Amino acid sequence: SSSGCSRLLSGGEGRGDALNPCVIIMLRGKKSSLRAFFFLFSFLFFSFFFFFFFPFPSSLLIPLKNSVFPLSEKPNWDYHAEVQAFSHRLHENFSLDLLKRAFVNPCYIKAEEERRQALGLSQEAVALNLQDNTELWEAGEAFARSYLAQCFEGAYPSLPAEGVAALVGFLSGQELVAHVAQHLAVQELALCARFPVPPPVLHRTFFAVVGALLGSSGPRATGLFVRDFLIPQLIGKDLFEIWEVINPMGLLVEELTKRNMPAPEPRITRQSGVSTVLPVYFVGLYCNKKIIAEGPGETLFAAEEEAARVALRKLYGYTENRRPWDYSKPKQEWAAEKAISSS
Amino acid sequence: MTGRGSASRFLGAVLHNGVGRHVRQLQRLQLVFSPVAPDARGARQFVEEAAVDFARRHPDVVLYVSPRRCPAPLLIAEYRECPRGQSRGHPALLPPAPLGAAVNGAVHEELVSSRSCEEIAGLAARLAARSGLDIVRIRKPFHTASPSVQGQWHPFTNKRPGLAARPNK
Repeated sequence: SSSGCSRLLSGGEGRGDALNPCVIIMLRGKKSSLRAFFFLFSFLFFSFFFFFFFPFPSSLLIPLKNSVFPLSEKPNWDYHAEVQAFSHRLHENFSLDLLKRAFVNPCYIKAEEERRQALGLSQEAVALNLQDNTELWEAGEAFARSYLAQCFEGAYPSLPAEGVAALVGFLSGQELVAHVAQHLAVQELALCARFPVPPPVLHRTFFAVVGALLGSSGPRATGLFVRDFLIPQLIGKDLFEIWEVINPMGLLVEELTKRNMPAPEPRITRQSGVSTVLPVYFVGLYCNKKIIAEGPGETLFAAEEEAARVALRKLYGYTENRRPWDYSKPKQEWAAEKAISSS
Repeated sequence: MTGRGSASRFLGAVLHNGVGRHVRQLQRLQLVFSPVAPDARGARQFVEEAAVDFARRHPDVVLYVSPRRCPAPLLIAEYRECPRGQSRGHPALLPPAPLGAAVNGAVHEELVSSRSCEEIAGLAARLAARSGLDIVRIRKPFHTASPSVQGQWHPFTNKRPGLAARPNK
């Protein structure tokens, strides 16, 4: 009724509340609009609880999630062109067949064949004419490991075999290689049953790419590729972050006996705040009364251990101020370029 | 806004790019333009004259050309995966995460309406030289993994170790 409406309007303006529910729900009179408001509010209240607390298939929420799906399902995607660009981007001459084969994972072939069978195709149509990358990744991983071991043995000749193995294992480990592969855009080109590609599959695909390069360009170019992409991951890393040594003092004594030096004698060189809650001790290790290393720590035991680690780093030549890794082109390539440019 | 109020990041390269070999970060460039709209004239000229040249000079960038009905001509650049968590600052003030970039790298869109062919070619070359990291204030113009060669100074450096190195424990 008109009198009811006029009362509604005055009620809304009078209180100056823009969200007055009585203004939103213009029904017959104030009382019934209030009732309607409570019904609406309780509906919203219960739907809130329903959506957030009641377990219901989250596939309903997929359109609301940020769009995470592979680039191959977006417009403007030409696989052949992308593979060619990948090859050029890495400054390498890949044979495209080997490279395309390197991206095919066995899980993809299985999933595709199952999908085709589920769609009811005949047996000849189901079988995909694709070779997977198993041999390529085995070859690639073996080559990468042996190349890295050779590099480290040459660069740090006094590093023992366990140290070299720890470095090689870190650089060809799953997380690091998956991280490198993701940043090299291998994930977009890799054919895999799941998206996003899980790290073990990325690890395998990266080594398959290395194997493909080995087949296309030979061991020298592949060695340079492994050097340029894996060895920079050691930047900023300390030796003992990668190689876990439980008893550095014992290892140090072994190393010194190998070099015919007496066992080290630890002495406190500096200390401060001994009776406080944050003491600092510097322990120096002396061989033949000459200092070989000094390390700090909060307790005497920790300081001695740290001093042993510092001594080991100095012995192995893996200190923080060592000469940086050499990424320059090998000398034969410079000579070949000069010959080409002068002729 | 002051520096603290807006997003900022540290200088960095994706995957230590440049230490081993330099790898171009731009992966693909999409030019979306309308075949009849008047403001896409520069884009159409670019496609006719300069696009093939650009593609030849940058074989590692895939150039997609899409003439279709669109409100305005766009040049969309997609970069390699770069870690999104690099910019610091209040989440509401960070550059907005572009659609479809949750897993892949940054996507940068440039409006090229009413631009000439040479301007678009220059813009494409500039996009090809970028790293794809967020364009925010860079806190320091330098970055190093080994800040000290002779050893970081601490209050005991160059101080005498005490009257005699005392016997242990």
